[in-house]
Amino acid sequence: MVNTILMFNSIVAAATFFLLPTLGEIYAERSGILNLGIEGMIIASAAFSYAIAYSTQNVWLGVLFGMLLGAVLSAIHAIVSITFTRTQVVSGIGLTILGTGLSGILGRGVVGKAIDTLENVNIPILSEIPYIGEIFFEHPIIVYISYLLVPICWFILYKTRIGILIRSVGENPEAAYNQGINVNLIRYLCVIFGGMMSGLGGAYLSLGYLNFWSEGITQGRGWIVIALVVVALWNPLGAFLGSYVFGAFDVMQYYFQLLLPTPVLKMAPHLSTILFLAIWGIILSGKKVKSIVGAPTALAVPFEKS
Amino acid sequence: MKIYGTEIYFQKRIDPITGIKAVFVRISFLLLGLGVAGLIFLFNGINPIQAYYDMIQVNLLLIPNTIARFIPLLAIGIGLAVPFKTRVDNIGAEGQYIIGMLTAAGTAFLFPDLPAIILIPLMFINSFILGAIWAIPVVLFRAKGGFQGADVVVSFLLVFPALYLMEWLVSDPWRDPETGFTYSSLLPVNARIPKIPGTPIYISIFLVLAIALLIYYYLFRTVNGIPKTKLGYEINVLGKNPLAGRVAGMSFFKVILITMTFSGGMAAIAGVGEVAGNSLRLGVKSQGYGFTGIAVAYLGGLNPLGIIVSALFFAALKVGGLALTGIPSTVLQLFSGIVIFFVLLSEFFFRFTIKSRKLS
Amino acid sequence: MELVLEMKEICKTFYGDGIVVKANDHVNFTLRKGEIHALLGENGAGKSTLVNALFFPPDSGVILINRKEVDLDNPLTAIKDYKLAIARQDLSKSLIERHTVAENILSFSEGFFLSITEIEREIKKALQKFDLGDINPKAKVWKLSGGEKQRVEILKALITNPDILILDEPTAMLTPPEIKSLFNLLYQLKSKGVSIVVITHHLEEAINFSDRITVLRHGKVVETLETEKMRDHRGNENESIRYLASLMVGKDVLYNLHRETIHSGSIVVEIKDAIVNNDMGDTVVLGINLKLKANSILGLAGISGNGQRELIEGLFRWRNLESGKIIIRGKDITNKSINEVRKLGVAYIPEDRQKALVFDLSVRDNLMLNSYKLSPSFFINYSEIVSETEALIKQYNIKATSPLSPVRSLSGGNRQKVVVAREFSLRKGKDLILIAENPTFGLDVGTTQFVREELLRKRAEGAAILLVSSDLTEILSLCDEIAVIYKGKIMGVLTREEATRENIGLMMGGANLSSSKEVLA
Repeated sequence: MVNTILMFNSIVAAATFFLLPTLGEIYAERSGILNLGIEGMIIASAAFSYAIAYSTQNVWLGVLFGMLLGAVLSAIHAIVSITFTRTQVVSGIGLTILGTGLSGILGRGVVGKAIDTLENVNIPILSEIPYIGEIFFEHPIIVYISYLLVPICWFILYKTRIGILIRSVGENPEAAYNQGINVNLIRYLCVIFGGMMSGLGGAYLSLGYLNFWSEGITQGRGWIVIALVVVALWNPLGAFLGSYVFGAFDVMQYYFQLLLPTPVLKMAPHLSTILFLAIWGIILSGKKVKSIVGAPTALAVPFEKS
Repeated sequence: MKIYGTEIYFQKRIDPITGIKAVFVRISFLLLGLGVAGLIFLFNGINPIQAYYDMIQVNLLLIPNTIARFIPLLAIGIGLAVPFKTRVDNIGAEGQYIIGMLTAAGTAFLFPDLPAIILIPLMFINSFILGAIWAIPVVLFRAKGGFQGADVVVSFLLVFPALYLMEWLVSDPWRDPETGFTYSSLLPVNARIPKIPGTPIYISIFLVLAIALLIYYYLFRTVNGIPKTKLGYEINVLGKNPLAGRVAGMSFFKVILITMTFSGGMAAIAGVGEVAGNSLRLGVKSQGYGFTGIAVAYLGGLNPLGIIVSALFFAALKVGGLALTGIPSTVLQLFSGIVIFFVLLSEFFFRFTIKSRKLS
Repeated sequence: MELVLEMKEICKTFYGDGIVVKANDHVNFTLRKGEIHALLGENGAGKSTLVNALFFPPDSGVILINRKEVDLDNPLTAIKDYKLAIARQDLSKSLIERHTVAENILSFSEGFFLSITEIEREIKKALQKFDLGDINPKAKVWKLSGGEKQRVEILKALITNPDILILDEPTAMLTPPEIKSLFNLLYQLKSKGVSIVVITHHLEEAINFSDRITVLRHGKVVETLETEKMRDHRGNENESIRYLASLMVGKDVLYNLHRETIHSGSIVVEIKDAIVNNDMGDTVVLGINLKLKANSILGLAGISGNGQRELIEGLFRWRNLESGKIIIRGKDITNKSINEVRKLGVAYIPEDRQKALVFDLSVRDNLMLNSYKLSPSFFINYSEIVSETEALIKQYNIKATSPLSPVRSLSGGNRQKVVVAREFSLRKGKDLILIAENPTFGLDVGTTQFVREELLRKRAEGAAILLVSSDLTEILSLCDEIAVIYKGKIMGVLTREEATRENIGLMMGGANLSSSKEVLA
């Protein structure tokens, strides 16, 4: 019999891995910068945070350094795309390749070495609610941070001045620039925030979710984040929904191996995203809909100050 | 940017750097990149000078290995250069490459008794076709995409079905019954690409070099500014200004369909070369040539002639990696990533220059 | 009268893409308190660059506000500290289409939180106060008409209660009554002490509404004059217009064009009941019927933004028709591809040079854009193309270092010559159908003369030409028949003899043929 509570608990754990970088990339893309280097940042941070946690025997220091590495790596992409206005697609791919390459070197000392990783923290009162409590409130602290980040990210993006500035920069950087908005600064901040969130995701992967490090530990799941941003329609609330759906796909692989061939389950997130995009493409043949919802207009378009 | 009373700013060059000058600039940036990689080695307790020295030594000893890796990298690089020129980035080449490997192996397993002279070309043809098909969704999304960037997302998303398919095939139907490990049986003898008699070089090198030179001659080369073929001209125009091309009556869709299917086919051919030449069986992981290929194409300046040199360089890096004991195989990706960044930066300097002026 | 703004020795040079352009060459400009100062000049004279110097630092020069030197290094300083405001000409660089009107007017929000409802309230108040009509602050900008967008842009500038107001071509998309109320508004502001700069290329506006006029040409100030004094000196409006035009252009501009009287030939192109939507899905061409005849030039006059662009795009199949038919040489091409239309001999000179030239490629590459496909096989006919392109360069006197020079290294006039050379040579004689969209826009006098002569020459050779232009002089001097478009409909078609500036002007503003005749009778 399938222990549903355990399964749903695993889904939350898996979803958090997707959710954190997605929130970050939403901010980056809302400001107009496409960062395809997420997989690289995640895996490099996973290795680095594990290595730091091992050598300092302090898990939280590991998490911190993971986030820092994410910030630094994303800054490289930011410099090349924003200041040097190079093509964001290729720069992002370069970052992924670089990050994957780095992960091997950074983690080579701690492959297979066990350390005390993040413990589950049961939130008092909330974790005692039947079903819900065990599913949502018996996780490492990072998961709870992700719960809080969703409404915060949503609020900042839609209800604050900085949010409308970010969205303006991603829609029409020229217009924003002419009103005195520092387009490049906002883009840098958003991309680096995205990098920190990917770093956090990577640290969570090795220190809170899978609890070990070895090469290729992400199994390419970082790529899904980019698709998730689209499925989320660039909205933090959508990110929450999408992450949990994809988290479910990820976990179900193990539970339904007997019902469906493994490769089909593994491909489910990718194929369903392609289907989603295809349906979207057909619906969006009328340009009117495109004006209501969709990618930020200036996404991946280099901005040159005139 | 303002520092200490001086303003540093970028200024567009009146005449961008091109031609031989550009090659020199690109090489200098490459050397800078290698320097940065050396620094990364240093920070991780590896002696960069020793490392580079060992890498060169290994290459001199194992030239055939270098050439063996050169062939698939060249194939992918050429394949990528063509659509890149139309500004359609085929970043899912890895997926098409895997499909190529699968199709080749599948064809071989299905017809193990065909004579090599029929079987091997059949493998190439089948792989080309399936690789090309694997690239078509990207074209559809680019032409009819609902939003900007859908084609990029679809492009890499398609890598995973290919990868998982391969994983499943080697774990189950094609698993080697003799050893029971998760790789496929060895390819039948007739399916293995022969070498040039007396040398350790696979004859597929002729195929790939021929394609590279043909592509150069018919699509890239210009005499007095005029390309040889209409397609070459259309690729040029649509890559630089698709708007003007379409107003003139060009079909963007037709051109990207042709270039992307070619690209998918070439990536697949690289896969054939790899599985029927180097490894002789399917494994769970791929060599990652699909992504390295992007670095190869860019370092080569998106030009077949440059890509031939660039592919050699990356093949040498890959083989050199063998010398670096204690460094995981991901080191090739480290180099690829760094190279990509530095080549991108070099392109910036083709168009812009840095100036400073004092502020009052 | 105190000087509220002084700009001294302003210099700004643009680099890149093959040219070095001195957009502002030691320009001196002053603005008195409470005056309306018109800034006149042809396209590329440097007007927008000059006012931009108030928001982004120029290369050199000094700016004084209220007699004190200021350092305006970014737009916020100008807007917040010195109460400057600008309504720009190119709205795509100023308004965010996907956001609402309120979300576009960000100058209001301070602090961390965004209170959209408060901003919407302020906008409604300001719309009333400035008599800018009825616009819903919650409306998305992409849904607004051209005129409404322009009013939003003006509102954006006014809502900050500026001391110095700059309007860059504010009347481009306004109807005559809207223009009137705009200038009324400006007079009111004037009386409250606001100092205003109006950039325009409409000479009549400058003469009738301004206190002073500064004329720029090629980045330099030609003259700054007192409007009333000039009017008195010159006698009547026409003379004043002539004088200003000559200042703008540099010499007494009389285009001597040889125009033969030719009988127009058979109908070559027929547009029947065409209905076309724009990118946003709004119907902007509401049932247009037009006929193009051989040996004749049909002019399409109208204020830009009234559907001409979409009509042309429908004609050469860049855009689908919602309904209606297009028949070229007897063939119904309503659903054919652009390529097929081109094969029927349709040449097109777009207003947007981006649609006509590939700047990174060579002159030769651009000249062969139509002819490269003439050879039957996959290959390009090398020798044919070489001789053809060399002939064109000679015939049209295209000044370039070599046929291989990139087009971006050519001057504006020579670039247009490349387009003209290519399109005009698409077919010979009666086989040519030409659509020309503002073909002399932004060109120097010599090239303008050249292009107009070429149009007449092709007409004499048998071509059927559709000339879309917002330059009435051009329309009046070249066309055999003139159709006037207003809000997607043809107000009327005038013959050359019937057409005058006045009746065309009235029709451009919405009057139809009969009522304009009444008005002018």
